[in-house]
Amino acid sequence: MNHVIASDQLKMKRTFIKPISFLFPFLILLLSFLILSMQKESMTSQVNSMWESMVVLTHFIIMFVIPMAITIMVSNLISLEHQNNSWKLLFALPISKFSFYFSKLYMILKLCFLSGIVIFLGFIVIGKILNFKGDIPYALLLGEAFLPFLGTFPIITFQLWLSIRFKNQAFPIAIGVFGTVCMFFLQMNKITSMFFWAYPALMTPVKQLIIDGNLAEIVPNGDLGFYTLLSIVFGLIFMVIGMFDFSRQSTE
Amino acid sequence: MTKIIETSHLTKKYKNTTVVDEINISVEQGDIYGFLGPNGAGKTTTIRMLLGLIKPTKGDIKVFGKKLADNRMAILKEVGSLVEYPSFYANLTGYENLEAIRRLLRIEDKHRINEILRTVGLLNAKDKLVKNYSLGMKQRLGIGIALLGSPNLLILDEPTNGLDPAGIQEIRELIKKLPSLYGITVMISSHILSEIDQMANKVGIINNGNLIFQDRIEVLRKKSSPRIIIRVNDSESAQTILKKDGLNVALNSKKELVINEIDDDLISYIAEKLMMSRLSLYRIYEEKRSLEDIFLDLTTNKERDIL
Repeated sequence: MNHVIASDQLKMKRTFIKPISFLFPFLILLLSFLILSMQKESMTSQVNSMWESMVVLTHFIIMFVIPMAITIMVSNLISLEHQNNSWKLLFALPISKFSFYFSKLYMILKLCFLSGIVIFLGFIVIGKILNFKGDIPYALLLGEAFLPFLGTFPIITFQLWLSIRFKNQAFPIAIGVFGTVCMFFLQMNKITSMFFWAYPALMTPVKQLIIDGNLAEIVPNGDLGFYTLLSIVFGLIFMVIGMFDFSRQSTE
Repeated sequence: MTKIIETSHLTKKYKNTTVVDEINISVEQGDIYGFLGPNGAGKTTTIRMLLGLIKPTKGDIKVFGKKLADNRMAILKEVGSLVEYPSFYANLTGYENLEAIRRLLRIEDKHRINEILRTVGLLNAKDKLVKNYSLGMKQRLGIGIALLGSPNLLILDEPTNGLDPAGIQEIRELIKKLPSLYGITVMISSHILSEIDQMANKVGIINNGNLIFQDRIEVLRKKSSPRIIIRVNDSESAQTILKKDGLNVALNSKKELVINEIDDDLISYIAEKLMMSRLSLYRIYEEKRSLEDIFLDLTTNKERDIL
C-alpha cells in the first residue's frame, strides 16, 4: 500500500492538485475576512460571540467551495491516469487493483486534512487580526474546519467513482457542480437533506436560529451525530461500489 | 526447451464477433517471437489476454508453465509489457517516470533507473519532461518501464508504431540484444514483416483472429526462395507427365505449373519433356517472392494458398 502511495505522490508533481488544495482554503478565509471586516460593527452589537458569528458566516462559503474543490481535485487526480493511458500499464503490474483505488482515496483524504488545518489556523489568524473578544474556542474552530470535510466523504467517494468510470471528465465535473448548486435547496427541508449532497451544509458545529425572520442566538447543532452517521454510511457505500466497479474494469 | 508462453484454444468474443479464434501460441525460452498480423487481426486483444488485462472467452493461457488465471500476480512479477501506445506521465521527466514505477514495484536499488536509462539510450534526456520527448524517445521509455522490473518475459505490442526508419533501427538493435544480455524471452507484435524479420527467430502470423502460421523464421524465408513457373496449354496432363518422372509439380490459380527447383539442367529437361509430349509451351519464368509477398498472400487470400 505504502509503495503505491509513494508512487502517486510523485505523479502529482507539476500538477494543479496540490496548489488547489492550498488555494481553496485561502479563498474561503479571504472571503470570510473581507465580509467580517466590513460587518464588524453590526456584528459586535449582537449577543453572539464574534468567534461563533465568524463560524456561521464562513460556513456559507465553506459549504459551496469545499465540494467544488473536491470535484476538481478528484477529477484532476484521476484524469492523470486517463490522459496518460496508464491504467493498462498499472493493471499489468503485479499489484492489486484495490490498492490503486485506496491510494487515490488516501491522497484526497490527506489533501482534505491539510486543507482543514489551513482553515483552522486561518480562523485563529482572522480572530486575532480583527481583535475578537474572549479565549480562542479551539473545539468550535476545529469543528468548523473539519466537520464539513467529513460531510463531503460521500461526495469524495461518489466523485471518485464517476471520475474513474468516465474517461471524459466533463461529466463528473458537471455532476459535481450541479450537486453543489443543488445543495442549498436540498438542505432546506428534512427529507431532501437526507440526500448526500446536502451533508456539507449541515455538518457544522453551531447554527444560528432565525426567530420572526431575524437572526437570533447561535446554538450547538443538535443534528450533528445523525448527519455524521449518514456521511460515513453513504461514503462507505459509494466507496464499495466504486471499488468493485474499478476492480472489474478492463482497460477497453 | 521450456515453454514460456503456451495458449490452447484461446478465444475472445465480443458479442457476436470473434476477435481471437482458437489460437495456440507457443513461445520458448530465449525466443524473440514475432507476432504478425494486419491491423485489427487480433494482436492487441491476444496480448491483453496474455497480460490478464481482459479475460478470454474460452481457452487456457500458461506463462512460465503456470496457469495465468490462477497465478496472475506471480506471473506478472516476471513480465514486462508495453501495450499499444506507451504509457507514461507527461508531467514527469523520464527519470521520474521510472522512479514512479520503481516505487510501485518496490525495487530497492535506485541505480537500476540509470542502468535502464543507459540501456534504452535516454541517459542524456533523463531530466527532460516526457511531454517534450520525441515519439521514438517515448517508445524507448516505454520499453525502459517494461524492463525496470528485470522481467524474464517482455511483451511488446507494436513498439515501432509510428517511428521513422532510424527509430525502428534503434528499437530493433535494443530488442535484439536483450535475450543474450539478460536472458529475456521477447514477444513482439507488429504489422510490418520486415521489422520482425530482422530480429525474430520465431514467427506467428494472425489474421482475422486465426493463427495461420507459426514456425521458425527460416521456414517462412524458405517459402520466399525463387520458383519456376511454366505455362502450357494443358496443365493437367503436363502435371501427370512430370509427376511420372518423380518431379514435385504443383498448379497455381492461373493453372500454371509451379516447380520449386531452379536447377538449369532440370528446367531444360522439363522443357524438352513437355515439348516431346506435344504440349504447347507458352512461358517459362522465374518467380522471386519477397517475405512481404508471402505475408500478404497468407493474410489477404487464404483460399489462394499455393504454397
